[in-house]
Amino acid sequence: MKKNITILVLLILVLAATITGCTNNIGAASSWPGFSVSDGMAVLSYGSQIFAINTENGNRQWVYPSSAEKNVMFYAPAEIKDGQVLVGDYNHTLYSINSDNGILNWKFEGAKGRYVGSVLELNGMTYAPNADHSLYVVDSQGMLNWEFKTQGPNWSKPVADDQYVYVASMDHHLYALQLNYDAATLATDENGSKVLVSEPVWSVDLGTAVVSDPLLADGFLYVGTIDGELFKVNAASGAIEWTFEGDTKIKSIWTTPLIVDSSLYFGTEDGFVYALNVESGDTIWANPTSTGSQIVASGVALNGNVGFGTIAGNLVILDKNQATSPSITRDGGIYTTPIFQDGKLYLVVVGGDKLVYALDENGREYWAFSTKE
Amino acid sequence: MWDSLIIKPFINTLLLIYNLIGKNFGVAVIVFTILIKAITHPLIARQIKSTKAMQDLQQDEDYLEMQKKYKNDKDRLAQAQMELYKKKGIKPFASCLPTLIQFPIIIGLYQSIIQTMGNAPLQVLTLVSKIDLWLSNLFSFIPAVQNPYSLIPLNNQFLWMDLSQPDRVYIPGIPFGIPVLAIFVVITSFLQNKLISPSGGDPQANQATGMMNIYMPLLMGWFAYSLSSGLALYFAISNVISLIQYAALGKYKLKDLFKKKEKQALKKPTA
Repeated sequence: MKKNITILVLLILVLAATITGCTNNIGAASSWPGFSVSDGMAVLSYGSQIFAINTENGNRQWVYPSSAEKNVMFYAPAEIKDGQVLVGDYNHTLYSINSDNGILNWKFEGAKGRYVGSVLELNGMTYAPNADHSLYVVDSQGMLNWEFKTQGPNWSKPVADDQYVYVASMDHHLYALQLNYDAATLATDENGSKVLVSEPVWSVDLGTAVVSDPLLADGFLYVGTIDGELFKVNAASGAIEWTFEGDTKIKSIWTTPLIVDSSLYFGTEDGFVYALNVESGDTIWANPTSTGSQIVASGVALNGNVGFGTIAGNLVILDKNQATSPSITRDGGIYTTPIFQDGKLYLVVVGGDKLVYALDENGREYWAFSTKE
Repeated sequence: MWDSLIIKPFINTLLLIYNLIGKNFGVAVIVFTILIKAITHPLIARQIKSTKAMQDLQQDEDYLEMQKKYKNDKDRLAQAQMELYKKKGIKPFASCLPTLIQFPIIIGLYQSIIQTMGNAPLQVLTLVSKIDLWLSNLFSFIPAVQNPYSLIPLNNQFLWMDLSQPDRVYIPGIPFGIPVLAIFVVITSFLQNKLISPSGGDPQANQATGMMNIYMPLLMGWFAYSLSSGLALYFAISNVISLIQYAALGKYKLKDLFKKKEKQALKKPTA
């Protein structure tokens, strides 16, 4: 009998450990890797560390932090600019790291939520969207200059022209804000600091949440929503130029649109690629191209073609006439936007042997990188 | 198959309730739990009836006599027990079957709540991929019902809790958070187990039951302590409804909770 009770207790403990281990947020992957490339360096944000990779040979340049820390999780793509790597973590901290040696320049800890999207660096200012319903703008020393509060989490990387910075939010709105604000025009926050922007320049209600980065091109913003609608918005006025819903309901859009030779391409969560006329928003193809698997990663321009990664691990390559080239395939799933730069195609694949692949445009491998040493 | 039959309908029902009752996920979890309990009520009723019949049997004179008579012959005892079950019209496994049927519902509910509360990209992606418009279209005549996609991100704040995080109440002067909901879950699980567990008869079985009455509430409490408070809320409401169901159907009285069951079992036949 005692033996039975011991077995029962052990079973209960194993069950408890299994269920809590499988469902607890801390430590479990809750997003996909962030990846960016600039100036001969790639930066991978994945899990408890960020990895700087030499794009020539795939060697690890540095890792930050040097050893994994509890509760520090990175998924947002890094912004690599002016000798620094700017990246936020899931524990409400924004880091500026020296891109040469991986040493911390400064930290901004004023946010209360996760950094899911990439920050934007422009003229020494860092525009940092956070899931705590705020956009934080900090200077080159990591000091808060101003803050704009939205009504929902902010997962999208802001975009900017020489006049405004644009923020798409999960509160269903797209906002235009000035690049900088005079302190005298700002309102006081709950701590008594004059940092709050009271009113955006303009805002437009898109009906549902935006989780992808908007595209800014030739004075227009192109942005998809979680409800599967794609909008073209005038960047100066916020007026909606056109809306594309598809002939049949599009499930949802997680990708940033891509313009190649006056055609706009985007992928959908239900696995289709659409091509639209940029001016009119009309479809170019009679039917969208089915990839057979969810598309979460934005498209990549490949010498006049476009490539879309799927979570089945295929990079489906298409031209404007909807003709497909052989897909590039790796074991695992592509959730992170592929990058094509200086003749190298970078694919980040989750769940396979390696995490990052540098390939030529036919899929031949230059190098592959794994976070395991 | 599992997704299509259980998870998707559950998630879409949760979203519909959330849509209808003021966009508060805590209230949606409570209403959904009540709804599921109401649907599975006939199964619970049958389970309680069978359990009660088994408990009553253990205080039956024939049963006690049989225990004494065949105490050294387990095979003969089992045979005699089966004959007695037949004679009294009791199906010994009838109390297990409703539990087995409820099991996938409970697991599905658990998974649906976890997936609906997600607030990180992978979780929201999973949630979005499971949204079906047919249910909201069916109720579109109600002005409050919106496109379910427009509900994302869901409002996870309920009372003092962020339902996607484990529950802790911080009181000034106390250096740690108090898991109020987890404590409530332990207490209600204990009461529930005490009410439904059979008593009397085999002392070894009683010992095992006693152990279960201690370990199961602790296990449930551990889940409520370490998992998101949305799930803890589900456990708590589910326990409270079960207690009401047992009280209503099993004719239990509060004083039963404080009686020693072995003594009860021994006293009754001689009374």
